[in-house]
Amino acid sequence: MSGLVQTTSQVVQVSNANELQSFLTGCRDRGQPVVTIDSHLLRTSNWMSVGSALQLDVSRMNWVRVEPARKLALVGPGARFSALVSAARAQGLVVDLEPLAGIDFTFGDWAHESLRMLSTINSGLEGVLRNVKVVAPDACYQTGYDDFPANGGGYDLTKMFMTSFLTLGVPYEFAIPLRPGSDVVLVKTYSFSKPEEAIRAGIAMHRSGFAPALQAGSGDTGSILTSGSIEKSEGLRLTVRFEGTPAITEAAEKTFDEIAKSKGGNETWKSVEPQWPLDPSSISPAAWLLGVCPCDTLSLPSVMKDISNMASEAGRAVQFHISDIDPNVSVLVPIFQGPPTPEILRSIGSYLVNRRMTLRGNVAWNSLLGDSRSRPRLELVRRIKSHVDSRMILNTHMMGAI
Amino acid sequence: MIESDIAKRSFAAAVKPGRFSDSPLERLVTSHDLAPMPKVACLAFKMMPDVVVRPKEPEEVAEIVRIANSWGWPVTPRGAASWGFGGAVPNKGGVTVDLASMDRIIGLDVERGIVRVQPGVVWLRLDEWLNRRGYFVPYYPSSAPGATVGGWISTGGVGVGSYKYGTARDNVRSLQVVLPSGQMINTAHLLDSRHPSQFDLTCLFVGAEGSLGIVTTIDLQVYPKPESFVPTTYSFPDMDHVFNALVQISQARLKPYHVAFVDGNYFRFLRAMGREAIETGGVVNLVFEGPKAKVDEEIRYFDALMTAMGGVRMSDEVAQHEWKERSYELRSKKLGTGAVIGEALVPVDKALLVTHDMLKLVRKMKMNVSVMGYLIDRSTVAFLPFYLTDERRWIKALSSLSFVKKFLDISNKYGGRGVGLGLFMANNIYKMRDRNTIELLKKIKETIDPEGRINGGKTTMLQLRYGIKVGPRLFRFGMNALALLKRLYPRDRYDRPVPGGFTGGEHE
Repeated sequence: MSGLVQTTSQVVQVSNANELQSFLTGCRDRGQPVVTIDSHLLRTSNWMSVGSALQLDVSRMNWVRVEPARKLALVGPGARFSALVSAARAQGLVVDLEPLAGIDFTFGDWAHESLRMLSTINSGLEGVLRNVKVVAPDACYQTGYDDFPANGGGYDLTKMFMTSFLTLGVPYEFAIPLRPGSDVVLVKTYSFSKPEEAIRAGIAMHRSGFAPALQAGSGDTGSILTSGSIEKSEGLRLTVRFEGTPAITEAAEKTFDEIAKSKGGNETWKSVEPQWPLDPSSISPAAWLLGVCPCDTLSLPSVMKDISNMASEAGRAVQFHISDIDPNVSVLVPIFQGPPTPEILRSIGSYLVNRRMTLRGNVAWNSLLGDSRSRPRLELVRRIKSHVDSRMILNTHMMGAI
Repeated sequence: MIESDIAKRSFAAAVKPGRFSDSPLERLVTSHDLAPMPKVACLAFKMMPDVVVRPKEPEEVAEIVRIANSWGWPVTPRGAASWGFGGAVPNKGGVTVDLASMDRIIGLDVERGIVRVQPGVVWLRLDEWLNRRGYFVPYYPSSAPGATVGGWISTGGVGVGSYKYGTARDNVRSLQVVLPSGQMINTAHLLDSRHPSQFDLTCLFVGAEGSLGIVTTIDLQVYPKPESFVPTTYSFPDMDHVFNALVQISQARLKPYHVAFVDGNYFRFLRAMGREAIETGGVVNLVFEGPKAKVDEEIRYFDALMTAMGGVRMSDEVAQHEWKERSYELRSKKLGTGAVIGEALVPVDKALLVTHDMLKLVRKMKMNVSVMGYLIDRSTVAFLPFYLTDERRWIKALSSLSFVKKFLDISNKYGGRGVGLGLFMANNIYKMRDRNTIELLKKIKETIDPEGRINGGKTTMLQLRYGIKVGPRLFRFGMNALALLKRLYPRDRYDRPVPGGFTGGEHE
């Protein structure tokens, strides 16, 4: 493992796939446990150190290569979203993604959260992720998938790797499809006094045939992230982003206005440019993003109400950001002012676990990864892990008892 | 013999009366798929199953798999068998599980737009069922009138509507699968599918061609029925113009629902059959759907683009006819006794080069080939050449099969790859994936199915009926020899229907 940069006695930085392979080979031969680390902005504890494990930092693997002919970008895990956007724009191309809460995370951060921190237009993560190349702990390059969108060449491993919370391998390159830019980008915000109506409006807009990207917040997400000050609000602001020709955008806007009006919403803001990405260094230390919680969309209002009540009982306020709204599942991010107490973490954690079991909400905390209700499925994954990580060195603590 | 009889009785007991058969006719019917394989292929593969079962419920499937395990019988899942790579055909006999009998549409979650179906549901029927409820399924195979949901998603699911709505892996939310052990799993929590918090195995099974387990329930994303739906057709002087137009479409700021192309030979075949068909060097079909204002604007936008590329818009009547014909692309097979179709994914900017090389191959092999296809996304064309064949002349038919392999070689040369492995094309995996990944795929197969019971000897390896594995070198040698043999034959002439066929029926 000589030549690799150890920034502390426990953190190892690698800067390319060969170094990554070399590092994991060395760890495998020694039986040395490894945990991968991200930017720590999300408080999901996926980064936590375990026992004598070395921490692997891939932030230096930050390349972005745009291939205009293939309308594809090849991105390293240390690259930030803004770098991808800039590189694509230089070629007249855009990417169909929006970062969660507008924060300029790295692709490595996203990989830690199974790409749940990305909003997409109508397609889910598969539609915006062609391929992931990973180094597995047994130090083989495992192409998750090639650069084509469809299967038909053996089993598609992309989703399995990307939902393994880096227990099966460490991604070193993501293939992201790009598309030509649009004539007009419309960004519009509607405010609703009742969250239920905002959610219903979002679902109706999603189904309108115009395929917008939708996010919502109980206050101004950018404001709390940069100032750390909670904005108390009972309602919800729904932000819709749409791209097209002037005529199509005009028709879409008219449709969105009609939907919002029919649900009691008022237009509060309109722009022709999105307001992201938000530089992570500008985020206030007082703003605590408590995990990424995909929830049954229709249950969102009651989940927000319950979490607010729990926080209120503990004398704390909470604001919400909702990303990637679709009729099935949306991503809820509770944001606290200052670190929540262990009591709040425990109560909200157990609440969300309970929601998962009953009302189909869930949470990304790593301790739940091994807590599957489907034992055969978990056993199957454990057997697959034993093939790619025979010494069980990579993020194994996240898989429950092996 | 006695053991075999006891095993058969066990299978018969696992399903309801009338859903088990060991009759020669039933076994013959399930011994092939769309590809007209010469009988000589039976020397290499035991394509005739020993028994055929038609379960109705997942529990019956699990029981069948457990019985097969106890007797050591191979299991072959089968849908409508409307593909041609042998994925639904046994290579070592055993039990064929005909899933076309599991044809129940279980229900629609109206609020979330998710429909739950059994694998034997036919796509066209599903779409009609959804239409009556204000929904539609915008992605499906061109063989939708006969193909099953389970069959198509097992092939990876690239087809009509993929350009806008993606492939099967973008739209399958969860699967219930009977594993080779007989255990049942759900591959994903239904609402985890976009933002998983557990291992999501759905895509492992989507495209696995039934080699990792038997899919028994499928959750699909469906969409509200669009306000407007308009097909258009543009005629071009030749295929060079067609592929240049496709490149421009892929770079356009707007996105049609579906983009397909057909060459002029296709229409020549139809005319040879006595059908009315347009005179053209090739056509591009653009289909639009969505709110009316959006569709009208898209049509204006693409009309200007296609005209600038040398296209001439055909009448609405022609466009509607072409749209209706999307599921009947092999009508002209009556000129032979069957048709063999190749399928490859090709970078859109290389499609023209692939066509030119393919035409050279066609001339060398003295064949008569038509090509059609569609855009899958902004980078990729699905390229589907087909030729007519007469399997009664089995040596010639067998040697003609080498065209598919040679065509895939051309696709690979330009950064493309074949679609589908199944039995006959299993060795193509060496051209699709890197060695490490192939090893992992094999390990996954071994992990899930250590005995190679379910659709074994396919997909990740090619195995003959006697357990002999055929590696890529031997396969390549065999195919090259067949290609040489084909060149010794006189030029193919399928310019009139073969004698002895029935013509003039009510569907003519």
